[in-house]
Amino acid sequence: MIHSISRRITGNDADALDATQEALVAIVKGLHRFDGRARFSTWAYRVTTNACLDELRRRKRRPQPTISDSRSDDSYVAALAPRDPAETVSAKIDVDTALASLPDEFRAAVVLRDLVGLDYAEIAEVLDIAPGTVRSRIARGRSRLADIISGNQTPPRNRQSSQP
Amino acid sequence: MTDAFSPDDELISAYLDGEASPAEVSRVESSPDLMARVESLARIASLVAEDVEPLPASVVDDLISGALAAGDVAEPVGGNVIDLAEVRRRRVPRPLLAAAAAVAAIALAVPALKAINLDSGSSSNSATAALDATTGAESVDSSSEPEELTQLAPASTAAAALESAAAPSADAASADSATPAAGVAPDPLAAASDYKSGILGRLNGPDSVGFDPLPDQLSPAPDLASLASEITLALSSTVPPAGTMPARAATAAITATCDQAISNYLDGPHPNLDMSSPVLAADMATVELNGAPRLVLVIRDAADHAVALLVDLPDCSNVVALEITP
Repeated sequence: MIHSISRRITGNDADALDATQEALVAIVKGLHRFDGRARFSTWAYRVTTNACLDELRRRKRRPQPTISDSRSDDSYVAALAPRDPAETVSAKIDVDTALASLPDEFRAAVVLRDLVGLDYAEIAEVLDIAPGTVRSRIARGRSRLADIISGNQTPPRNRQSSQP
Repeated sequence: MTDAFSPDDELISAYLDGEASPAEVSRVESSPDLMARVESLARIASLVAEDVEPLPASVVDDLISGALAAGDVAEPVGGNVIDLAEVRRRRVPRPLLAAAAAVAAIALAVPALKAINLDSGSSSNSATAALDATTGAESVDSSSEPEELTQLAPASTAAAALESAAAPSADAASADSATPAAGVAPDPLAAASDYKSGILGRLNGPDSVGFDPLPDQLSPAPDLASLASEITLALSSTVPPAGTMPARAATAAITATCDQAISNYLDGPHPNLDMSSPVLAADMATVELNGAPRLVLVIRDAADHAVALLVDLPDCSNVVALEITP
């Protein structure tokens, strides 16, 4: 699971491998400091998520091509939108690419919910944020993912709302 | 990309996760539009939840043994003094390491802990981290001289760092006298060797290939030029073999303890070392440089460029990069 979290949050194999190594080292080194107040898995996920976010920060300091460098948003969305069921393989690749377009804090919350299956209270503990913030980040993250993958770029003000 | 977030999406997302209140549930289920959006977001959630391709067992082994070796390396004790008693006291107990191994294996969903050497730090002599090395690579010119010295941390000159390395500090002398109860005078070179052994364990995995150009301990060197000559001479006799460890994973393993100081170098500009190359080989040694103990980490890329990182232990306060050009 540690590698799976790392892969989804960092978005590529090399950074996921580095983050996984860093997380395992941190777990081994910090094991004697684990006080049992949280579940071990929650603590391990926290260590892993922090290792991933650290890796992403390091990556941002390194010059590298980005989506915005290489193609416009329109072509990016077009490339992500699956055209028929035969493109299942492409869709699997696209979810990582779409995740990569999310802000780090949204991505971490979505991954901890949908991949790991933590509830909002557990995610709040892992990310050290309020449960209400978890709810908002997951919703915003999923909303952006849905728009990217479906190709929907409708501004929010034009979207019909059922709010009274 | 526009942010198409609708206020309803927070409600729908909470409903999907079973985190909505009864009133919110009623509201969602009474609206066909909202239920349609539930389906849409559920599909997104299922995509994120799809299994990630598992790592090969050999890579998992490398990661676990690397983490265990890192746990077996003493944490910095501060100051310029290496207190062996303190170093040993701070080591993670073996039972705890065993528990950590189990935890790491479970966390990585690996059914068996094969090829894990819990004692890897104590007996290994060779160090390897290489990938797809050019087997016909030419040797490093043994007559080459260091082209550049880079002082990394703290922000003082390389010369100053070397001066400090060359002369054991007054603190060290006072600490020697402060630990008579141990019955053994602190031996910085032995502690450096201890540290090196811990790191070596991280480089020796089931897929490792021998790359061991350096002796465990280099000859005492009066200055950097002499040290560079000895390193280049050692490298000239060994060609990095093909291996399987990605460069960044290898260097991450190497740098787990002195992570920040060495990573600052590895992540920064280093024209003499091609870090984008998938080919790296590494070896380590200890050396007494002008009377002061140093850990030497040599990294060599596919083009035979090599860098020797001289690490001042135990606090990694001085990391000097000695770049060697063929």
